[in-house]
Amino acid sequence: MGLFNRPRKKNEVEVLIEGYLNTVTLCCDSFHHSMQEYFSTGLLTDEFMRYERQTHQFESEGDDRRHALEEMMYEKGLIPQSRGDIMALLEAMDHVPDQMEAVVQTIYTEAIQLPANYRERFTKLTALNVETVQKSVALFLLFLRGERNVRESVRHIDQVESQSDRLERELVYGIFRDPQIRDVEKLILRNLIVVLGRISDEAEDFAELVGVCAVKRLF
Amino acid sequence: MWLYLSSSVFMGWSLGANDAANVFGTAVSAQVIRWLKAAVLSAVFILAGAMLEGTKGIQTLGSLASQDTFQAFITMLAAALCVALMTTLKLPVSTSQAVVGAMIGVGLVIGEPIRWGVLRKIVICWLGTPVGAAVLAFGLYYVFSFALGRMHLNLFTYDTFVRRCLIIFGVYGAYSLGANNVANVTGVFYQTGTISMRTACLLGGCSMALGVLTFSKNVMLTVGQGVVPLEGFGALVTVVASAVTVHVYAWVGVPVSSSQAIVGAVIGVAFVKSVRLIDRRMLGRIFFGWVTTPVLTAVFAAGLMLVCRAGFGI
Repeated sequence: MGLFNRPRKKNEVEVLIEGYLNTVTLCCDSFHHSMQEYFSTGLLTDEFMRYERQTHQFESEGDDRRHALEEMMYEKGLIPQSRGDIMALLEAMDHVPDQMEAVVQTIYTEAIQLPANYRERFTKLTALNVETVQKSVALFLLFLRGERNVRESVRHIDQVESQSDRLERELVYGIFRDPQIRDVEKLILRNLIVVLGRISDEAEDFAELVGVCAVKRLF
Repeated sequence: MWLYLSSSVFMGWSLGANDAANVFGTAVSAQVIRWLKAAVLSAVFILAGAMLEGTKGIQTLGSLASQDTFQAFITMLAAALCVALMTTLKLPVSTSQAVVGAMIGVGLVIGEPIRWGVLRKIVICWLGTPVGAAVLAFGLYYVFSFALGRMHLNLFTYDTFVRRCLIIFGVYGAYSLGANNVANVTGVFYQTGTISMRTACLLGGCSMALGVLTFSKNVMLTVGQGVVPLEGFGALVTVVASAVTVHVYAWVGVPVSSSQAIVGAVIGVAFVKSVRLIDRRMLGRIFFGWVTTPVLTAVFAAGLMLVCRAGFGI
């Protein structure tokens, strides 16, 4: 067994990063549940409100964990390259839960009424965006483990983000040509689509940054 | 005797204070190791290098020209003052070249013949220091890359590996520095017969260690970042390559510049990535240092010797 293949004690920073990523996953699950609830009823039910609060809670918890991580990274004396990469990745990843929180808050504050015939496509759009978040969390772990298949995961996230973009355009196209929706509602729905689609945009930005950091480490 | 030797102690102190940054500057400025630990490790291993492997360089430098104790004092004083002046003016300076330049300057004034064969060997080694370090760094980069690439290291394991290696090779660099550069501190006095080889190694090593312990903090913190503007892996390769280069010249028995070794190693790593990354100003500074340091110190030492002759009739 080689010197570096032995089961090793986890670095404190590594444990905190895994905790942070777990919080992002929980935030993503709450977001997904809240959206499923909203799309199934089209209303701001108590269940939706409960998940909306949870999404906000996990987003705040993620912020706290990130700040603790930043402090620890200076105390634990990582080399500047590793510290710089991790800090940049954490900052990029942090935009994702922010965006998920923004979506549920937009729905709540604007009390958006979703037309029943668009629910299915909104559900699909949400699923695509949630997939990019889940893939981003997995990608972060792959990068930390020094795995070689980082590039494939980056490409996959990029593909899902492109699918999301296409669906966003189709939705906006359809909504603005739908005579049954009032003009003001069209603008509100377009805003919701844009805010929702930004989740995969942020995930794609994060994935690209992971790709750059991985290339820097290629020997 | 101790008054004369004070110029050597001053030179050793200045050398230790400045050149420890070449071996531990990267690790200290990257917060891999605290300055105090780095300084203590440097001091201990510089002394060990001087005591265990410093004799060859002392013999080579001593054989360059014959001087009496006063002439040796003027040589070391001129070299030390020139190094201090050029460091203050932020000009690139090598203590090895300063000492040799001063020996030539004093030799020309007193009419003592210079052993040109020895000088040729020394100059070839000066040229070979950055070139050798660059070639070694170039090769080591590929060897280490291949080895690390096969290990599939976790980011944190990789980080720990680089940090530990920076400390281990910093220690090795300090040992090489002591082994190679102790000749610059006491080599001139050894050939006068004022001190024994053992005393030359001990005094040289101790004065360099004193310089590290008392005055290297700011140099390590500020110069360390400037000398090796590379990511962790590249910095590690440069530290290893320069330490090995300086150690090889300690075996050869010629004192060389650790600063020029590390700059050469940086250029070697830059060659791996892209030739365009090489800083032409850096190359210019090495060339400037090669030419100006021995010439300036030779002129300064000759002038000082002439003043002493005119003033004191020595």
